[in-house]
Amino acid sequence: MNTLLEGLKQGLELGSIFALMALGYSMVYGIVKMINFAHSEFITIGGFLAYFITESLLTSTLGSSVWNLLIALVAAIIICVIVAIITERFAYRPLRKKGSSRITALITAIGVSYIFSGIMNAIEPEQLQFHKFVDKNTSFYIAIITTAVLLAALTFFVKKTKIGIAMRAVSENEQAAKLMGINNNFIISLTFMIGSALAAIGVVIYLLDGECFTFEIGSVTIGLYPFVAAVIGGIGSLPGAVIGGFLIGIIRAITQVYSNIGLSSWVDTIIYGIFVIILLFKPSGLLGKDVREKV
Amino acid sequence: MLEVKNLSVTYNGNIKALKEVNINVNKGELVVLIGANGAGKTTLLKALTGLVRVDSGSFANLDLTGLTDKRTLNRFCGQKDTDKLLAAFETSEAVFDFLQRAEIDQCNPVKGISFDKLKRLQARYQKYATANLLRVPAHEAIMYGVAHVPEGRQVFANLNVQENLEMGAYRRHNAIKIKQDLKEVFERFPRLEERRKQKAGTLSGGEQQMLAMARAMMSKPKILLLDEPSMGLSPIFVNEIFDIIKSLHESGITILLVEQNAKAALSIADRAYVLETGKVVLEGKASDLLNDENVKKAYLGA
Amino acid sequence: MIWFKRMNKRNLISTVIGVLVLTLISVFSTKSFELPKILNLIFIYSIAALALNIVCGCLGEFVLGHGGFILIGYTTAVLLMQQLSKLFTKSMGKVYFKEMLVYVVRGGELHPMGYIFIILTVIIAALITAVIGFVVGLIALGRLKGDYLAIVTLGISLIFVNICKNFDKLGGGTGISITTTISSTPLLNLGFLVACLILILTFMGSRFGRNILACRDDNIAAEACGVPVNKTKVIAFTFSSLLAGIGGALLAFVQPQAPTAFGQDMSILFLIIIVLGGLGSLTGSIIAAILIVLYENWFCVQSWVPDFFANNPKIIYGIILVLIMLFRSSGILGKNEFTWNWFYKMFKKEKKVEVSELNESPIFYKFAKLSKIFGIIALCLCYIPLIGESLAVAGIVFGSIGKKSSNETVRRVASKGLTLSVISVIISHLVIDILVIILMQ
Repeated sequence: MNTLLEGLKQGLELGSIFALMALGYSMVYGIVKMINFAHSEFITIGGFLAYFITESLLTSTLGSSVWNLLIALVAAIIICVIVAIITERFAYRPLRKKGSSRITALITAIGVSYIFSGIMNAIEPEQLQFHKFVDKNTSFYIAIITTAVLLAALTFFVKKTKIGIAMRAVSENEQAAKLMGINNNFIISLTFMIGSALAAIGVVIYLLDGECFTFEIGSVTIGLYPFVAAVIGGIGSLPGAVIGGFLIGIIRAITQVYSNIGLSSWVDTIIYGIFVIILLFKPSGLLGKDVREKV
Repeated sequence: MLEVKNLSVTYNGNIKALKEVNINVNKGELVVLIGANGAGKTTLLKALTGLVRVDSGSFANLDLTGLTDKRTLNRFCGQKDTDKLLAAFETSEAVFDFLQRAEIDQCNPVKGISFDKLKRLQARYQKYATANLLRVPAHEAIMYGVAHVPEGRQVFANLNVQENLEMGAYRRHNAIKIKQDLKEVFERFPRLEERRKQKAGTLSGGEQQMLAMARAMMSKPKILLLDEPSMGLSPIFVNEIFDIIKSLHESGITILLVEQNAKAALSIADRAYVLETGKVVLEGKASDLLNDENVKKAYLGA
Repeated sequence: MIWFKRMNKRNLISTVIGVLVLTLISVFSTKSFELPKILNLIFIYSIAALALNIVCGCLGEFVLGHGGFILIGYTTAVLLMQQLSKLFTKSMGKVYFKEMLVYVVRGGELHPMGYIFIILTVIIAALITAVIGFVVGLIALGRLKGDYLAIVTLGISLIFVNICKNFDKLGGGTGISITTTISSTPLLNLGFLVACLILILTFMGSRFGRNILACRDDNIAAEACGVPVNKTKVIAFTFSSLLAGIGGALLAFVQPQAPTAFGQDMSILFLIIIVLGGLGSLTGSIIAAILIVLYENWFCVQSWVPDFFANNPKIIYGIILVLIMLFRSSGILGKNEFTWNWFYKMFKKEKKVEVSELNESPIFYKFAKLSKIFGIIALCLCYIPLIGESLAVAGIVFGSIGKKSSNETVRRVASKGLTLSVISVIISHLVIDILVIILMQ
């Protein structure tokens, strides 16, 4: 029973981290209709940057204080956002201008993700350990609260503010949005920025309690789980992404807790099995809207 | 107000959709473009709002009597001068009025701005007001007072009616004015007010067309480009839509209307152009065209 | 066999000669050490890429889980071989079986019985893969499409990988292999590639093939015309997994691999191949497969290539992918196929351009003509080291100058010269390498 509770708690923490990353995937997919494979590399970049900055600041007067972490977090967010803007500007926007097909966009995303992943591999192929800023308990609360606050803020932003509504308008009909005077390039860039900032926040929280990680943190360790979470919840739906994130996080944590009966090695089968089953019964995810094809 | 000269559009490098089209729309006019499928009517509108790329050597002059809000003023005067101008004239409308006048009187009414600078501002404004529309990116067209209601309505299906209308006023920033206009629009389209919180996708085709037009009206356009508003609607709704267009026209809005339903369109329009395979083959008063033998044969089914 | 009837005499003879040349290369390649592996991989990757191209290019549905089906083919082939080996050990004693199957390196020959066993194993493995593909297609294709289908197939393939990883008998962490007891020859793989091509051409020329193309262009319109869309999709998917099974099973006789190698990365590798070659272009897929295999197994191990290329394949792939997508998103061949007509047209004379008609200096035209001449000579002499190569390089330089011309005919001549030169550069490099390998023996 205790193990189960422990698993649930870890699951909630992991789930809220996945939820943050899933929000990024979901928003970007919602607006450009493209699986942004490079999102997982934004996660890696965020983690790497936070690591290098905290390590270099540890020797300074800041030491291992909260300020160190905050500076690292802010720097990671800023760099991630810049990388996202550059990616969008130089890889995705030219494609959009040409009106390329979706498979082209997806291949480009894979290409960009390969480039970043390769660079990260070349910089540091060894395993790193993040400095332990807080214990497991605190990081649990931080994760839950951050996710709740960010979800609320994002929901408000998308539902109520003018730019948020414009975001939804662009995701629905880019041409009509242009005619309304909405600068769709700006809106899409903004979406990428928000997504990558969420990825950076998520990975810093993930690493907060002294987690070990490699350059494969984005593409393998965390991997496609956030995207799976976003799809399960329903692409384009913010609460859906969070629900999906918690679902995947809890499953993963529980399989890890019960590793003594060999459950942990089946995590992929379980998660993807559930994923396939959910999609077969609800093809647009749990909270997604059924879009019927127009003739 | 809108002057299109030698406009040519080529698709895929060799398919000529428009060949040197000349079109004029005067202020307050309702001009209709008729033509068969593939004549280039929609392409013309899309070219005007920058949705398709235009070959070089063509231009569409837009003589704009200007958007009169403060933000537009800011765009070409700069924050400091705007403040000074506003201090002198109180409202931005008055400033525009002043700038539009052909010559400035010798006595300078604005404190802190030299006479020369005022002249420069005026020149800059006039350049802005008679912009070459084809150089303007699609999302900026609305800033020049051009509102385009695209073919097939294209409302934002998952946004509710009010949000759709707010998107129409995306580039305006005066919340009070927007609210007023919203009220006005609802007065004109009472059906939309009933369905204020309903998702646009759930509206019927006719209501969606109304919404699309109302949404365009929310940007306070100087000229309205309507692309086949009667497409796919039942005859009753078609009549209603044409009534609305007529009343919009009567309230002083310049309209360029593209229609397949030639008879209905010609009966409400002032002037008309007939497009055939990318060329203007006939132009004249709507009432004349209505009685023209060729037009009757080709478009009116008589 | 509609494609067969359409062939004229010249094309038929060219094809037969081409296959014969490949057969000769395959037979004699066994003299060297590296070459058989490269050829094997080229043939196998081509088969697997063609399989993916049927779904992605011809059907227009998007599958990201190709690796999973290759894994099934691989694993079934290994298991079958193990069972066969056990069966024969029981009845005839181990020694005899081994003798029968073992691949004699020195002679480069496989015992005739070995061929039969391998062919049987591959066919059975392919059929089993096809059955699984049919089930997956039946479940997934009817309900999902677009990116959702892609991600679900990716999920399913990762489930396959996970299952194989968890049972040591199916591969475990390190993978199972049969290459220790038996391995195949390039000739066999070439035979399978030719057979697969004939199968694909027949299939795509049949009613099903036309249905598939109709579904790609417009599902709803196809349905309205009476094409059973769902059935067609499932048939195409099953056919694709059949071919993927063949590829996987053949891979089992060539290269031992762990189950994890068949995950996301392999699926993406094949996606890269078909996009590089051009979606929907069968010959394009083969060309791209050749390029990718050569890059990995030949280019990267050359001594003159910096280590960077071998150590960071991901960066290189990423850059290539992005650049191709940005500047030539339709791939090498686009939707076109390589045809003999196209090939022979390269040598045909262009209409003569009058110098007086050119409104530019005639230097471009001269360079373009030179480029074509150099390209043709280089292609003829490409088996002579250095000479063929340098001629081809000159052809490339002249061709790229000629391409700057404003006259269309001149540009066409230049691009012909350019293509010929590039082809002869690739061939001459390969030929030099093969010669070196064979002479070193």
